[in-house]
This record gives sequence, C-alpha cells and structure tokens, in this order.
Amino acid sequence: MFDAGAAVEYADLVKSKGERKAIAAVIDKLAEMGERLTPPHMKPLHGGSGLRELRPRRGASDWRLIYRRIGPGYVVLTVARHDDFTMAVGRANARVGTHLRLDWKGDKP
Amino acid sequence: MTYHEAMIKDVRELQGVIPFDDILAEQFAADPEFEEEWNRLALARAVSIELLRYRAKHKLSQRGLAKVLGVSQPRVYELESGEKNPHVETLMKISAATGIEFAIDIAPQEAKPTLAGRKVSGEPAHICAGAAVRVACA
Repeated sequence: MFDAGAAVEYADLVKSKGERKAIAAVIDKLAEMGERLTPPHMKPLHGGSGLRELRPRRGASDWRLIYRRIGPGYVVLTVARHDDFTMAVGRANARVGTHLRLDWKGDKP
Repeated sequence: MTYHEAMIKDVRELQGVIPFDDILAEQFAADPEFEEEWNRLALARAVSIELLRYRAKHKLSQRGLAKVLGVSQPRVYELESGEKNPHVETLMKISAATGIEFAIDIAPQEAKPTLAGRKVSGEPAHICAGAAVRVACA
C-alpha cells in the first residue's frame, strides 16, 4: 500500500521501466513475506519509529522506499533516491502520523 | 479470501492510502509492454518468493542458501531478485537440494488447463505472448 504522496513520487520520479520492475518485484516480496522479509531486500532504520527501507535490487538500485507496518499491512510512506535519504526519512516521519490509528491492535513499531 | 486480499480490503478503508495493485494496474493500462514483461516473469517471482520462504524457515543467509544449492552467492541473489526466469535445469537443482516442488502450467490464453493438477490450475494466470502461465510451488 502506498501513501498518496508516495504514489505521486513513484509516478513522477521513477521513469525507468527497469527501476519500476525492480520496485514492483521488491514490493511483491514484502507483500508475500511480511515480517519474514530479511536483508538485503529490506533494512530497519535506526531511531525506534518502526520505519524500514525497501531496497530494490539488494540496494543496487538508486531508489529506496521507506515503509512501516501500520495496522494489518504495510504502507510505503515515501519513494526517494538513496542520496536524498535524510529528507526522505523526514517526509516518512511526517506522513506516518496521518496513517496511524490508535484503535488498531498490535500497531507497534 | 487470502490474507493478502483481506489486508487490501482493510487498508482500502484508510484514507490517503493506495493499494500497489491499483498503481500497477494503472501502469499496465498505460504501458501494455510493461504488463507483458511483468507477466513473463511470473515464474521468476514465484521462485524468488519460494527461496525467500526457504531461507526464512531455515534461518539461512544468502550465503547459506548458496551453500545448500551448490551455487555462488551472486547466483542466489539473481534467483531472489525475481527479475530473470530460471532455466528448467536450475529448478531441478533447487528442487533436489531443498525439497521444493514446482508446478508450471503453460496453456493457450483462452483455454482452460486440462493437464495441470488442482493447485496449479487455481493459481492466477499470467498472460504473455498469447499463453497463460500458472505457477505453484510447495
């Protein structure tokens, strides 16, 4: 699942078909594996906010997708080039609050 | 309803969240070549997921899986990428080393599978080059 802002970023920024294929493949892995998805396809981010990054092509891709488990599923909060990472984490943190629902059980980082 | 479908139903209720399936469908509509390529790689993705499951179940690193399969770690990475269809010989090697079973049905797009078992027949059809490809792994 994509945050609406992340969907716009994906549509506007990721133009290469090859990169889109790699991103779709890693999202497929997340959808199938969930919590069992391990590095190098993902990486937890430090800071305790529950954010993680999806790493298309084991990190060889220019793109990173920052995501978090929210309620029953996973939401991609932002799509960014890996050299824009600090700002991307800021964006993801700003967006995560809009999706969190207190009444969702088990919604812990 | 599968877990994935149930998850999509739940998350659809969230405002401002778009299922990736919808994004992918839009992309397919805008670029049929991309859809063809995505469908062509259905086997690659199925094998990738099965190897990830195997690694998770046996708590193996990619290096550990490489050892089990008798291949290099970059080869494991390639198989896990899901971006390149493996050869039949590779599937045979994976099956012998891990016990994973693969069932692949390829039939004309319009035809109902007649040779495949129930499990693979029930898998979604990936249409590519006029054929329907169904893959099941266990």
